[in-house]
Amino acid sequence: MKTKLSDALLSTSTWIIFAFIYLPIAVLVVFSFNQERINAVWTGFTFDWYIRLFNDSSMHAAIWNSLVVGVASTIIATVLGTLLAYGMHKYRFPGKMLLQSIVYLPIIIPEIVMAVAMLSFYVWIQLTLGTVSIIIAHVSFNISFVAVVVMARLAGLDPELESAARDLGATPWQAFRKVTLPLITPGIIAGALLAFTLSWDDFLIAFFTAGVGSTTLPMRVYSMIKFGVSPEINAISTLMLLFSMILIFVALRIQGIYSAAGVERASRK
Amino acid sequence: MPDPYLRIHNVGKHYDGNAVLKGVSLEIHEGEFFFLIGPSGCGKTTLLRILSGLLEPDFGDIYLKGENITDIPAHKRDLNTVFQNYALFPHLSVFDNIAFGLKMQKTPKNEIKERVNEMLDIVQMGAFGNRKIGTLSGGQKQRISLARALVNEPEILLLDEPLGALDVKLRKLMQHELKNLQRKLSTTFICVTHDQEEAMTMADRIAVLNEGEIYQIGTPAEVYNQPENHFVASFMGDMNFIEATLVDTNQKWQTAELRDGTRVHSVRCDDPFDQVKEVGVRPECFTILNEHESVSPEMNFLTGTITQHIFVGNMSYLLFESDGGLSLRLLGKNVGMESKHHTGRCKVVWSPENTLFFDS
Amino acid sequence: MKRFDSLKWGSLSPATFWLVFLFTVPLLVIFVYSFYERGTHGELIPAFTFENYLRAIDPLYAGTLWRSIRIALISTLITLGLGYPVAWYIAQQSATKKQLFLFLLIIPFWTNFLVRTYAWIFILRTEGLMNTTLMQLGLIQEPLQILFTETAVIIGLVYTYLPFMILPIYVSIEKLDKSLVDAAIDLGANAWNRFRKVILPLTWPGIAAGCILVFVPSIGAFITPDLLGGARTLMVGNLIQIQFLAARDWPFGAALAFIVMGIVLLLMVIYAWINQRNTGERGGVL
Repeated sequence: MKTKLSDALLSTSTWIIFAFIYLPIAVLVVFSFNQERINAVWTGFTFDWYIRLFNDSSMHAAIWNSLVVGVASTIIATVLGTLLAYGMHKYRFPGKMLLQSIVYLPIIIPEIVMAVAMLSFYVWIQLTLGTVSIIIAHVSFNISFVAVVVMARLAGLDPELESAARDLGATPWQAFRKVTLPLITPGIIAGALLAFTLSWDDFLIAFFTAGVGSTTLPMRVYSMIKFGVSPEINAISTLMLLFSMILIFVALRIQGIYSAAGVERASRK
Repeated sequence: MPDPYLRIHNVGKHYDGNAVLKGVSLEIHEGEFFFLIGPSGCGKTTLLRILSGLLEPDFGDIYLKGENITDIPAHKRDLNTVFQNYALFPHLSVFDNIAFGLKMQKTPKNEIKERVNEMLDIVQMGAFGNRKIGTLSGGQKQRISLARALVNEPEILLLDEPLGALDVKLRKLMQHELKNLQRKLSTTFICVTHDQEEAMTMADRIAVLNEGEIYQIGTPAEVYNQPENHFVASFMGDMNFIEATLVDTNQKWQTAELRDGTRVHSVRCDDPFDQVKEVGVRPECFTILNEHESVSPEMNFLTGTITQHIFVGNMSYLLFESDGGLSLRLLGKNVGMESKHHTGRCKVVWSPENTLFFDS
Repeated sequence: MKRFDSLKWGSLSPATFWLVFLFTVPLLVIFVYSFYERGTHGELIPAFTFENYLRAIDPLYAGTLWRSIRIALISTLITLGLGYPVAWYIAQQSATKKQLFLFLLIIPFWTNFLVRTYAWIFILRTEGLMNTTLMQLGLIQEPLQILFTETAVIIGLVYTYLPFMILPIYVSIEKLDKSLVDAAIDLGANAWNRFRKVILPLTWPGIAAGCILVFVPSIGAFITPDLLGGARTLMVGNLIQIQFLAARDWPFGAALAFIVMGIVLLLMVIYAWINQRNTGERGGVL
């Protein structure tokens, strides 16, 4: 069987790789409190860079835009994506394979291709670029992500539950609302969180589809990076990391509530 | 003549080019406990789902009390289903599960409470109202799914292999309870099963299906004692088949000649056979005599050897080889310690009344 | 006889409508543009020419295309080499430890991509953390020029997509029937042979999935080569961006975009085809 040596090698290399994954993040956070501006030499602790961020009004605007785009695109994409997942899970219809391919396309397509496609489209229909143009583009890829997550949850559901509801007098819409919907809610929430994260983090598509005054947070960070390395970037990065952690924490709490209720287990086939 | 209670008229269904139901017609009487039975894939579950409205037939009609309900969607039909795996709603309590149909009909709250609690008592689960579905055992889930369907007082209750997931002892108990429940409520029950013993125990009448067609309809006794074709004879219980041809017909009997030349009689029925393909005798119909014992002239008999004796407890299976090369399975009761059934030479005798002819 | 199912149409139509008109149509738009000509001031001239596609494989630009494929390939191989052992290690742990490891693996996925890439700028630049530390330790005299080279881009891509390689491989190792390995031991196979003849072939779906999940985004990468690669390490993504902004040559940019998309779709078709052949025996991971 395996030797002690190979075991030790395996575990050491795994820990090294995890260190590789987390070290850059740790470095970023630590140096956001560094007094020194240019060099990566530690000269002292300070909150200066964070203070500068709080006073930076263009940063405020960028954060606001990202929030608006994020919330709007998440709501639209979650509604459309959930309904789509339900329809694709339940029904057969001509052209289903074609629709499935179209649904998977936004997930596999390189972002740069989608970004230039949306820009070209907006120019062609003469839509003025602004915040709406970003929202539309974000919904276009988020529908697919939400649909995939919700479809996974639907796949684990007992198919006879809706039949039972209809047998007992529920119309198809009522069966969906009163039986299926409550049971796929964890999936919908997971999909929504994924959609929000993807929208919040997106740089490339926003970069191509944003109008003047609709700069999002990633766009602002990008221009700061292009301008030059600065601990302010470390600071905003740290804050963004913190925000991500909070989102993950919220996601886990919600999932925890659902599995505790035992609903998860009981709804399986 | 009054309209039959439930009339299924030439109903057919295809899946991916295969004909799952080939135009079946059937009449069911009010208050019957009716069984649809057949091997997997015969179409019995498909027919049940068409009755419930969850599936649309490709052609044919269904009439309930004279009214054509074929185009009425499932949620508006006055039939309810007990599903094979119960399909209880995991996010609702026992009480809310049972109340679901009543809520859909917008029944007032106090009436719901009354009827649900009454139903819980009928299925002997009165204390379980607040429980979650995930905490119930198989037998308990079965009763709740029954209650959920019956509380709506449907015209017909449809049951899809309701006892399939239960263990043997529980199943026998539930068969008894279901039969009593049906008699007490006088609701028409239509039940699907592949277990012919279960059907014969509980049914008022049975329809035997195979490959999308009905092969026979009748009471358990009719279907068992007077099977109309090879399939029904072999599906319901065990049957010995011997190739034969028709050689004579008279007032009393019809006579056929077996593969090995032996002639056997069968009681002539109202519509005598024009031709015969096989003769059938149930294993329990044989009497064993000593090889040289005499046989009354009307009785059918074969001489040969018992080659194997398989002891099953209260019964024994005996494998018999006639001198002419025919193989038969015999079934005999073991009473006390007497085992009249040794291997060796013997004569097997059976009556023309227990001799069945088949032309298909 | 067929009843109209409003739920069927109601659930499918809105999303279908959106995906067709606000996603597929834009793709068709740039497809059409890829056959147009560029006017002297950067306008679009409707035409039907293959010139843009031919330019893409012109030696001038073919280098970029080739570099993209090369970088994506190297990154995929490195992540495979690093990722398989990690996936294996995690699969050997107890249930709670597995959860912990997977959780730790997923967290970076939820953090911002720009931020993670910027971290490497911070580390790799001439006055960055790596050089400063190495020089302070006396290991090097001169700072290493890693930023704005192909190496930096590969480091960035490996860093970003490592979890995407580890997870599918982990899933297929989990699904592995351990009794098969026991049977191999029983029949006399040593560790290397067990790996080569039993474990590797049976975890192949996970490996294939992981490779696809790393290669596809790598070949279309923009941010990583843009921030870490600099002007001399252009990948196709950067080239497309230049056409749409600075160079104002939309037809050419569109053609490049479709070439990238074509490569991606081809890979997915191959992957699906391989999976279909194996589905009788093993089934895909994705």
